Amino acid sequence: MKEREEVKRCIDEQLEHIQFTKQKEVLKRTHPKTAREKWVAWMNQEMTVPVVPVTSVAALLLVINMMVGDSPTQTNQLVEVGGNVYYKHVVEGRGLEGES
Amino acid sequence: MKRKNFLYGVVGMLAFSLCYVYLLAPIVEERKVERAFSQGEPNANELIINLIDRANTDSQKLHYIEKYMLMYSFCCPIKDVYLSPSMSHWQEEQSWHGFTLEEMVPYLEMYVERRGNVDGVHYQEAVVLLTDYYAFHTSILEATEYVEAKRDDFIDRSTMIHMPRELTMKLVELYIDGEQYTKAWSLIEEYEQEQLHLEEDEEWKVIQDGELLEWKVELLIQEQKVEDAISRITDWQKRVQSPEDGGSYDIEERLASMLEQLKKIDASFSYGTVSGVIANENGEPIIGAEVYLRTEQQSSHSIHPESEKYRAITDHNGFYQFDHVVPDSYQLGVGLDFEQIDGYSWPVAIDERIKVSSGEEVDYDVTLVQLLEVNHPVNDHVFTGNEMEFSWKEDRTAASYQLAVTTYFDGGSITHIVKEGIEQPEVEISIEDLYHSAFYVSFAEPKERYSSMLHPEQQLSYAHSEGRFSWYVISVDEKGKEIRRSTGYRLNEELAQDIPFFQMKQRTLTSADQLLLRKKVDQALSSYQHDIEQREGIEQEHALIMATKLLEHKKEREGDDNGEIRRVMRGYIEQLYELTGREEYEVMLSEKG
Repeated sequence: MKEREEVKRCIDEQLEHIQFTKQKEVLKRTHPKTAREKWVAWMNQEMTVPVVPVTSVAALLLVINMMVGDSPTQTNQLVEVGGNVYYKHVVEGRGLEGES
Repeated sequence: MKRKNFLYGVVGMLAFSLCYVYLLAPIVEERKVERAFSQGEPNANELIINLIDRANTDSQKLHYIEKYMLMYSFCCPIKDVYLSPSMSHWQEEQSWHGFTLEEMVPYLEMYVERRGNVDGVHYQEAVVLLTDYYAFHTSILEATEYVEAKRDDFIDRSTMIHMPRELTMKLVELYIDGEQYTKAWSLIEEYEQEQLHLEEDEEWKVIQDGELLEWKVELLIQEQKVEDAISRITDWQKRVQSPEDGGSYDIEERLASMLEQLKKIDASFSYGTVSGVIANENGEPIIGAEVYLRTEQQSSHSIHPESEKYRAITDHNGFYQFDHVVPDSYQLGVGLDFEQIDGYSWPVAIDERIKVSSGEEVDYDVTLVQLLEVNHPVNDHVFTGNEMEFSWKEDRTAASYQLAVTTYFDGGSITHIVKEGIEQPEVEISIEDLYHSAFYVSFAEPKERYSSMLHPEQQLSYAHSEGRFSWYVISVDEKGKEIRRSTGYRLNEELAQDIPFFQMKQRTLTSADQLLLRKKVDQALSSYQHDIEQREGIEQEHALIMATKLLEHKKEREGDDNGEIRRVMRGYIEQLYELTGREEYEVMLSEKG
């Protein structure tokens, strides 16, 4: 006990010349009255961002953007098959590509 | 997380997006254009126009016009397909065509008007392109006045001491086209005088002289000084050295073909004209097609627009015209876009020519006709019965049809007309007729030996039951002249639904056939000879045909000094004739040994 009293006395001595002047500020934060005070308090509120939904939506938007931006250009290669000239992609998969 | 931190994050993202749209996107856009442009993608035009329109500053716009329009549009637009009666070639990949004059004109006008500095070659190119446009759409006179004014303006404003070459050449050309020959001569002389004081690379000078000579020759012909023109070309040819890559300069080719023509003509000749309309059979004109008038010497070569002497472009009515045509025999060449020829063909005889006599005005129209549609067999239909039905859409203008079948083998294909004079748009072909179609055999003593490549699939021909075949049909008039055909450009998906391939599985491959397909030729021959003894009916006939074909090949390769191979071959053909009584074998036997 004696020891605690000693510490308190020491702190009191050290803080003797310090005065707490921010009572109003603290009150503004704990009990906001004006719109500005309310706004600042609202902004400082802690909020929880759900990681999974937000990152999924962001990733989805990114993927859509990449797909739109980099749509594969249609191949315009031509191929002669059976005396006719076709677009390669039209006859591909019909087992006729190799004929010429 | 504090709410305000989240908000700062969102605002930051928005700011980044705005930066992207206004600062980064243009750079990305230009990259995209750059890629489309360098890979020759067909939509590059649209992207480039967009890029120019959206550019923020004038200097940026002019830079893009220079980079994407002027650098690549000076001579000739690239066409997808080049056709002439004796040749055709097409680009393996549909590519960017460059800009048409019509598309470029608003941008070129902007370029000429807003570019402060006239130095450099692009300004002259822009003026030349605009002059071409005015000459085509207004009149030669207006175009001449335009280029005269721009040339004077150039000389006033330019920091260069010598005459603007491109503008001067264009003016000479227009003076000649407008029959202002005196002005053309004096401009050429003025230009040549000035050139004397310039020190230039000798090779480059020769090329330039050649281009000037082309105009001088035109003028000399006009004055009926053909001999003089000939000697000037010959002198020039002595000076020119072809490029190191073994090719030749475009001007060299143009002057060479001019010289050939001049040697054939009379000094007192006068120019002819060739004009006509290029349209499809529905009367829709083919606009913007390139048209070339090609001499006999040129007609066996591919079309290279820059080395063609006679070049024209069809107008909005599909009309083209060549003035100043030296009397000669020509073939017309046409350069088209795929869209213009898709689903159509130009039926023309391989040896068709346009004869132009002195002073003659020749009309020559080109009509593209729709392709015939095939019905059956298509898409790898498999025939198993002896009678095979072929059918196609009727051509009401046809007197009869010809049916051709193509056989494919390693590295090539061979096409035979299997039936002519077909009156209906359908026909039945018997597999036996195909098996017994005539093949080459000679009973003459081979003069020299040569080892030609043997293609098993080609030898088996229609008897190759694992093979694939394609077919086409041609409709002809009473004189046998082609009206339309079923083969051509089928790029539209609707036209590509039915691909005329089929298979013939009436027989199965014998072990002799299998040996042949594995290129064991001698073993295959023994096996066929064995089959001749052992089998009967169609398989015996097949063995006789195949043994004869392989003996023919053996004879070419090894010679036949004592006539043994030919005796055996003749024996086989006689046997075939006895078994089938077919005329084909009678004809083969009638050949003297």
